[in-house]
This record gives sequence, C-alpha cells and structure tokens, in this order.
Amino acid sequence: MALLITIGQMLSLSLWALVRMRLGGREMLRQVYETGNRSLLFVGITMAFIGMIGVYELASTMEAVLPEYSTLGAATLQGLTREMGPIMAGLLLATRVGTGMAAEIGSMQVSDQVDAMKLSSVDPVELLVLPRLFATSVASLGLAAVGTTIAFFSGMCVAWLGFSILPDTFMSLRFVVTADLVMGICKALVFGFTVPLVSCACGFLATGGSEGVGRATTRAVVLSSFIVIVEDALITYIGEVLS
Amino acid sequence: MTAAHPVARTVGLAKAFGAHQVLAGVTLELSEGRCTFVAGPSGTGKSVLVRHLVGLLKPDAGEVWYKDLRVDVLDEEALLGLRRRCVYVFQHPTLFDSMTVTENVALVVKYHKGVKAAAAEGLARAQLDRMGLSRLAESRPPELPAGEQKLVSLARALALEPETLILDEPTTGLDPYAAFEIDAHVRRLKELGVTLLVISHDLQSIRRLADEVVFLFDRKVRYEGGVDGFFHSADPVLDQFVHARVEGEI
Repeated sequence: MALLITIGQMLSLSLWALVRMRLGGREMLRQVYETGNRSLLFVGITMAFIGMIGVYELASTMEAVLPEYSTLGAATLQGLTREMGPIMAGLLLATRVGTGMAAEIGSMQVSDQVDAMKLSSVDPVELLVLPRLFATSVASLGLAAVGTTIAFFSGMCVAWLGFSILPDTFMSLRFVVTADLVMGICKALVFGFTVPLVSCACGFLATGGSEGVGRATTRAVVLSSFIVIVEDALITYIGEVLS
Repeated sequence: MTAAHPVARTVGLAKAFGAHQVLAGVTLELSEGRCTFVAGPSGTGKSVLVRHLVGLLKPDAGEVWYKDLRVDVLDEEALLGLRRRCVYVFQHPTLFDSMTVTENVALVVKYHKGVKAAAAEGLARAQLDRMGLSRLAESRPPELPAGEQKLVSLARALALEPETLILDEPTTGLDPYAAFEIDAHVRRLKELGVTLLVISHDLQSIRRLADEVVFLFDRKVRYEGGVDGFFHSADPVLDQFVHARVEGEI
C-alpha cells in the first residue's frame, strides 16, 4: 500500500513539475546518457542473442511443419517490433537501470539526504525522479528500436548460415503494419515510464541502512519486471481489441 | 524554565515508533539569541525532538511552536517558509555526492532564495570564502575528510542566513582540531545573535559555548537550566553523565 501511495504521489508531483516546465534539462540529458548510451552495449549483445535464438527456433519449427521459409523474416520482424524489442528493452532497463536508481535513492534516503533536500526547499521528486522518468522513457524507445534492429540482423545471419535463407528473402516488411509500430512505441514508452517510477518509489521507501537499500534494490527489480510483463499483456490485449 | 522570548517551544510532545516510545510529554522553550545545548545518552530522542521543530516528524501528541507558527499542523508548502528561517544541519553531512561543494551550497540557495543558478553560485562561493573554504569549492564531498564535510554542510546552512540554526551532533566523530574549528564558527554565530540549538554530548563544547542546557533521559526532560547547574547537579543521572561513570541508571 505504501508503495502505491508513493508511486501516486511521485506521479502527481512529476506531472505538476512538468506543467511548471521544471524539467531540469542538464540532469535530464545526463540521465539519458546514463540510461540510454550506457545500456547500449548490454542491450545490443543481449538482443543479438535473442534474435539468433528466436530465428533458429522459428526456422526449426517451420522446417518441420511447412517446410517453407518465405515468411520467416517478416514474422520475425513483426514479433520483434510488437513484442520482443520493447519488452526486452523494458526488462533489461529494469535490471540495469532500475536497480541503480533504487540503490542510489535508497542510499540517499537512509543517509538523510532526501530529508536534507526537503529542508532545503528542493523537491526530491523534481530533482531525482522527473529527469529519470523522461530520460528512461526516451532511452527505452531508443533501445527498443536499436535492439529490434540488431536482433533482426543477427537473426538474418542465423537464417542465412544455418538454413540457407538469402538475406533478400529474409528482409521482408510485409507483415509489419502501422498498428504494430504504434504498439511497439506505446509499449516502449510505458515500460520506460514504469521502471523508474517503481524503482524510485522503492528507493524512497528504503529504511534501515545498507540492508534496507539491498532490500529496496531487490524489490525494485522484481516489481518493475513483474509490472512490465503485466503491462505488456494489457497493452497487447487492448491493441487487439482496438484493431 | 520559561524563556523570556521563546523562539521555539514544545508542549507535551510525545512520539513513538511502533511500540518504542521515544518521547513522552516533553515540554521546553528555547530562548531567542541564546545557544541551547540538548544533551543526553544515545537513543534518548534528542534528534527526534529537534526534527519536530522543522516539521520533519509529526508528533503523536502535543504541540510544536516556532514563534507564532504551530509547526505540527503545517503542510509541506507552509513548512518551506519555516525552514528558510530555521535551518537544521544533520548529524551526517548529507551533501550530494554527484555535485561539487559549490554546487551543493548553490542548490540550496537557488531553491530557497529563488535566484538564478549563476547568482546562487556566486552567493555560494562568497559563503565558502567567508568560512575559509574556497579551496574546497571544486571538490566533491566523497573526496573530503569528515571534518571538512561537516564544515561544508554548515556553510550550506549559513548561506541561507537563518535566524535559528539547529546543529545535530556537529562535532561527533571529529578530531579535536576539526571540532574546535566547528565550535569557533558556532561561537561567531552566537556573537551575531543567531539562535542556536545544538544536540551534543561533547562536554567540552557545552562548556565552551552553551548558555543553557536541556538534558533528556528516559523519554523526558531531566534537566533544563544553566551550564553551571548542569555540571554541578546533585542528580545522580546527570552526575553519571557528566563524569562518565560506568555505574548508574544510564
């Protein structure tokens, strides 16, 4: 319950700060660099393997059932755009970035730095949460796009080398429609908003020294990953109903 | 004790954390322009008491007043005004690690005084200069020893030109020289007429600086009065504390 209240407060304070255009431009750019650029290698390598594994499994199934590969590339790209790109970006951000946020804010909370901000008229949500919210949303979108591209090309390599599917055949956009793109973008933005919101709330609720910070970090990664998956199911369902 | 011009007062203040009762019916008044030390064994609620004065904690029962303001019923927005006048310096320096010393001081000035970043930085540098800390301006807090971190923390508070300053164990954990340096700054503030409330069990600091002493023990005020009375009290608890005896109630 305390977590829900904290998330609600953070959300309303963030929106209020947004209305007043108090975005903290320099800090936001720093956070975009921290969450986006610094996650590129991690997301890139992970998505390369996801692409290779996904295409290998899909091609093996097609080989047994059809056997015909002309739709492999198009199906892969559609799945990556709608599903795997955004959700993997969300989950990887929860692991790499969310934990860092929970640990940093948790440490500040248990060492009275957050109270010191309040005493200094500095709104901790405006200074700590808002830049992270928007930076992570931007980063999530970018990472989903880059991750999808890398996974698609790594999958193409597996298709070519393992199943002799020519890149020209694999590289097909015919299944991907505007609705897939919109769904992918929506998911990336929502996950990019959820991860810092939940992680920062866990940090603010940390109590009891370094042990409390450890608990907050674990809670942040578990909860934000879980919520990302639930949101993914909801957005997919809503998308299907609307289309 | 009734202060002639009370700047802050608590009436029947009670606070518990879960089943642990920390304060039970604490009533005291702080005199304007005086240096009051709050002493007592560790865990007797000294920090809890003073955190009520700046609205960081809400009491379970009782009232907290700062001049004509009822602090315990103020919302966060209203508390900001109070916190510009009555500044609390934490026991730990609470400096922001990702910022330089100047940025740490400037951040508070910028938000509290509502000035532009460049002007706030200028005021921050001037404050550091006044306290002889210019050499630390571009350092980051983790690079500094504890004594210098506490001095920067004090500089950050003084940049707001408070009328009341609350210092939570300012000399705890410092070497004698660093403690003396902090005390020297406190003495200067006292001479300037700033109302000071210092939480400390540093008996040397109490001797050097205190006008009045409040001693907390067993959730209540055990002693409230002058420095001589504190050091020469017949109360066995005070006697044990002042002379650091092992045997006794503490």
